[in-house]
Amino acid sequence: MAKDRAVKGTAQPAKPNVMVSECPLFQETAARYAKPGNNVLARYAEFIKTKLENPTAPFGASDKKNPDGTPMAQEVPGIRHAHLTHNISIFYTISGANPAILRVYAILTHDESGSGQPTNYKVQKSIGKRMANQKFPI
Amino acid sequence: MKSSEFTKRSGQRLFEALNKTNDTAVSTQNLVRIVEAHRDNVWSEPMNGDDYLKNLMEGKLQWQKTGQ
Repeated sequence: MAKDRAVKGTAQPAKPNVMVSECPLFQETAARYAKPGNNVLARYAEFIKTKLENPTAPFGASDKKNPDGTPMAQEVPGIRHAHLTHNISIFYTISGANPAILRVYAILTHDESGSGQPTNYKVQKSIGKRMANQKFPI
Repeated sequence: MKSSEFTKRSGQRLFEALNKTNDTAVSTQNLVRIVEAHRDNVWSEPMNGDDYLKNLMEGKLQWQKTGQ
């Protein structure tokens, strides 16, 4: 009886069953940014470890879901993004419970200038505001 | 607006819809690529997470071997 209690007391919660699936866009972008030995690859490995331990646990404070009702969330239900580094993010979804399927969509750099085509007006507006507030010595 | 109305968007209309609420720090053009990937619905065979991580660390995933 005492032995039974001891076993129950040390029982570990079952490890979640997580499967990982990649789309061609992920494979293309991961090959570009997650190079052998670089920080992006190391952070992606940490991201995977985090999701294997708890698929619904956020990967840092930046990990968030696109708000329901936004066009992105309606186009790709459940899409989330998290920073891997200060200027690289991963886009992914988690669905199901046993197994949970982790679908990785892309690893992308942050668009600093928004100057690509078509134009990212929001980023340009933000940068424009920052530049307007700068003070230059006369 | 129903979600089916959003999924019918493409090209400039899709871009403009995503751009209005893009707070992801990546370009809206890249969000369009994610939407297109979702619509294409082409996925690798799901791999056990532990095996995936092991292959990742050993550089054995397909995109690590071929550069894509």
